[in-house]
Amino acid sequence: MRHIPEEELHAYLDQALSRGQCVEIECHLAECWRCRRERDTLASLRDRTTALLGVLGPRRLVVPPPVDAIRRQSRRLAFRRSVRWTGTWAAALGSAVFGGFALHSYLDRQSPARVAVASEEPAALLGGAPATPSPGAELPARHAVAPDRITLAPAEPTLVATPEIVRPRTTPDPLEPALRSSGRRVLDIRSLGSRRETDLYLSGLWKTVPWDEAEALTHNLVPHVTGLPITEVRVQPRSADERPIVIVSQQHASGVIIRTIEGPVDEVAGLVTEQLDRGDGLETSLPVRTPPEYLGIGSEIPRRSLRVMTVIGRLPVDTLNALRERLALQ
Amino acid sequence: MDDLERLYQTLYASVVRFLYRKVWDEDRAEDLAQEVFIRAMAHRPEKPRAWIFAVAANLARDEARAAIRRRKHLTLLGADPAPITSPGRSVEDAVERDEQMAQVKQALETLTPRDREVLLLWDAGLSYPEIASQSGLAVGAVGTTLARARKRLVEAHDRVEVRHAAHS
Repeated sequence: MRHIPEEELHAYLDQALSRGQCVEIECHLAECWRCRRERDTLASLRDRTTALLGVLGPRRLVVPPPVDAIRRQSRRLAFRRSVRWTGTWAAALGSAVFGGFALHSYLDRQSPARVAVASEEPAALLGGAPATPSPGAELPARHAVAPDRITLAPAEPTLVATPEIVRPRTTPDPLEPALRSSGRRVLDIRSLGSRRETDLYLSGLWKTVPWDEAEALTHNLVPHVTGLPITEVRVQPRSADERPIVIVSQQHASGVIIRTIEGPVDEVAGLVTEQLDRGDGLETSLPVRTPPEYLGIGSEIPRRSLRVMTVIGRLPVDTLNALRERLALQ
Repeated sequence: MDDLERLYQTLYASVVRFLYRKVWDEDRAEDLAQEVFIRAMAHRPEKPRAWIFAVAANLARDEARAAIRRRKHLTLLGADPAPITSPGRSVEDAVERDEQMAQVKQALETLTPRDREVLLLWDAGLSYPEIASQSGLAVGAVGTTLARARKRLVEAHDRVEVRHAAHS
């Protein structure tokens, strides 16, 4: 005969079993004297426990305070809780709005057309090799066609006059100590990177345009130094039948921003003089002639407009002249 | 008067007793019991009985932690000030009751926290499923735990009584 387990008898005494289980147990108890004895033992244990715990109570008589007082307090608590929740939500909402506004302002300052890619490896500068995008780099589809145009993202034309945000990488060059000890001149990339690039001093209305628009405006004659990433293209429109003045900003392997200016001789000369007069380290290369423009065709006095392009930047003149050899019109 | 307010009238003393066995301070137990019912009326729980004892246990736990932080926590045997409260009781009765209480406290202290918790919840009148939901035990394990706790409490109390008799 299977006897009733002890914990089941406890549950039976505590009336924690279903009616069916109770009937089953009672049937068994009617037949089994051992389980009856066990039940009596457990019942006395249970009663003794209750008696012992009964001693552990407050000495004084416990009388509940008026329910109205509790109700009033609970209303206050509910009110405080709702105020706290409302405050929390309001703070969260305010933070979200402020964060969104700050993010928007930040992104607005860094519009895609002005974001430059990271500079090339320092070894490229030391070796003097032209900077090109690394072969494994993941570029948008249009970049695969023209490697020089890797940084120019389409953007809405905007008015100019924003500072450059390009920063070169400042990874320490492992070759540097050896080169210094050998007496060769080493260009300190980090010092270049720490120098803040200032914008050109431009007068008149200039527009920052995407590459495609620049091509359209210049009839596919956008000046640039081959092999350098382009960071920005600006144009100043002229008369309807005349090509605009174009300034193409590119990042040199040293991290310095160089600018190729192409336009009518007088305009380019005036622009370059204005920049050099500022005396903040800008240098210019010798100019290169670009295809002239024939204006007023069909009128009584057609004229030819001579155009040139030149490279300016905070680099030695020799370097700029070397870059001049790589100038191209696309 | 709604259900919760009726429950307040019937359950208040049990909650105070339950809390008293955890904080060993009558005034504090009453304060905490009122706090429990204030919260219950503000929160309106679906299962008020189990909810009330769960909150009471949590408040008692917080109280114990706070007491430890204040370095003022009461030991199980630490004697409360013993006011003679019930009218008609003699001083001898009160002293005897205090001795009894100290012995039971000591016996209760020997139980594991889980056994003690289950035993006190059962004594507060909670059903097995309510005890299970609060203690995290399976309903089937509540009976086993209770059986063990009862046995241990009685055995521990017997030992304490024997020791007390030997000393006196």
